[in-house]
Amino acid sequence: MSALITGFGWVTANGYGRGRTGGAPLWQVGEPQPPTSILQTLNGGSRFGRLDLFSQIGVAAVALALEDAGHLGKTATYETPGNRELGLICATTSSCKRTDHNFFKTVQADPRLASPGLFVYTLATSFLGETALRFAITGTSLALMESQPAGAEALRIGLEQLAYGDEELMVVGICNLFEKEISGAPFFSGALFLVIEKDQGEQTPFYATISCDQKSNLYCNNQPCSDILSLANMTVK
Amino acid sequence: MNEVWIVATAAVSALGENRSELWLKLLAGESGITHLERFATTPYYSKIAAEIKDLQPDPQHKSRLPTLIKKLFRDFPSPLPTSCTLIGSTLKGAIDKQEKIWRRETTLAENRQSPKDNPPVPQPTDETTPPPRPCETAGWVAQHFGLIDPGFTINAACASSTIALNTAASRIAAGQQDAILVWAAEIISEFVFAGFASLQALAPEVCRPFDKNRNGLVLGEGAAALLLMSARRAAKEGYRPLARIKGWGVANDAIHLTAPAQDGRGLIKACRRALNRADLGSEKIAAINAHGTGTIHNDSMETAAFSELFGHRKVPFHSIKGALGHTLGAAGALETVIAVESLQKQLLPPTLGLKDPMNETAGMVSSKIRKFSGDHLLLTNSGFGGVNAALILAKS
Repeated sequence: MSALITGFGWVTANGYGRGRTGGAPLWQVGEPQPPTSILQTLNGGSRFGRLDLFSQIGVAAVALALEDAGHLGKTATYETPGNRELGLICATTSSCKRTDHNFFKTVQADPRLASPGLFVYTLATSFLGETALRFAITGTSLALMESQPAGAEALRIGLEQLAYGDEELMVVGICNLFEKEISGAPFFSGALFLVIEKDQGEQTPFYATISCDQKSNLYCNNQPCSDILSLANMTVK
Repeated sequence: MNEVWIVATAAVSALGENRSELWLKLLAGESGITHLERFATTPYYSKIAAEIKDLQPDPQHKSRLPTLIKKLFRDFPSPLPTSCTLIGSTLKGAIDKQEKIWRRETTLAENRQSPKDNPPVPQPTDETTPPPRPCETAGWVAQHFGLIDPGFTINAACASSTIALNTAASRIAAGQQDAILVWAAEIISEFVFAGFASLQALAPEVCRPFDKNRNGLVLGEGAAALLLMSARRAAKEGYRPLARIKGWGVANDAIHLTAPAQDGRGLIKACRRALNRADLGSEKIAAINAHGTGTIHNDSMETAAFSELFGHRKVPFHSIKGALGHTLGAAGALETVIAVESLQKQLLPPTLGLKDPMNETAGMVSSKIRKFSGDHLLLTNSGFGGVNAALILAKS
């Protein structure tokens, strides 16, 4: 299985950016700031404040990745020639634990007044829903929990979808928002998403080729790579 | 592509600790839904759930989830075949353990703020309980089977375990792997109960899937496991197929964060993807295990989708949520275990709670056992975030 990496975008405690203008992400301990200037430009941008921080950084990183790959249209939704089917895979280790705690505080205060607005963001799929709504992603979408924030399984599933599934493009990445006490390498808060596409022999600008062998080992331009974090760095070298 | 076989299944639910007991009780029209005893329901307008009454917290891990997992795998084939990997599903994992930690933190903070008004209280006995680790539940499953790699868990709301099965089937069909254990587990907690209550999504008295007077879902708890293998590997290991997974599909509505698309567009797409992969026309589907939560919007959306997919053909379908409640991340896997039995016996268990079926479902859904005849059964699940998943099982 192989695919072309055509774009990537990221939001970290160090700021935000995309491959073609900002290079690889710089990860550091701290709180990622919601990139309001990006979020406001998107479909439903005026209401981005209702999203929890996990969803805000994830949605912004997906927008940056799609823009980097040239698939963010004038209306800031996903656009590609031929309406090629798009899917989304998000790996997370932290999940929405911070929102969980905020919601549970409302339960403790008065169970009858528990916040429905917070509860819906206690599922990682709410981020998927927010992303699907904004960019009209109607293909496979799922979040997966992994014990180490590496995103390797998200990459594998993304490649499988392109090889055997119904999608021609996949946005795959990681989104994490850790509590302060466990933050530190490799547990950095932030989001990084890649756009990977089937190699259809077109003149599509791309960074690198990502592949996976029968033993599930991942390669970037035929060099072994272990996860999404290292992949973004290898891609821009 | 390799043929994908289901070779072993297990289930624990409010209707018993194994698959056979569950199947017989479903056919007998028994319900696991009772008055909820796990926590005080005084503040809530609903006071019912499908609870496993004797599910005690594990003394080491301070959560009911490890106890549930132990029950699930008590009679499951062990050890797993060499190179078998794990794909799991649980939405909130050991949330009961996390609830205790948060409650303790709140108590301590209140005591620090006003020590005179709140004299020191005895510390809870689980004071030293560490917070749940990422993928902790998957780690317990791996530990049970002596595996180092816990694999990963899918989190796609109420379609999670159906998507876990999709992912496993896809990998086996493509030859990436030849044996995968799919597991799913969910417990009832005040966290989740309060959440669905806050959304006014809980039924106050009874869950009525596909009924004109349906008014919400009832939460349940349970766990299920399915061992999937390629036909070649299964034959080599001496397993016979209980059923085959022939098709799968996932799609997003991209319409609303919590409400399903009322025209069923995402579910229709997921089902069509599953039919395409199985290389089947919709006329080959003999029965459906529907999501059927008992909420106004889900059931009307599913009915619209089935109408679009099957036209005037009345395909019998049912929902088990009137008996088992909605087990969220475990729902798809539990329903697949039941669907395997359905295909083998050519019977659909009754849809409990159904009294006055929606007009659109007349002749298709019933509160009685339904016989059907055919080789293929469709399963559907949908969830928050607009996620929809479909699975097609074939008789072995």
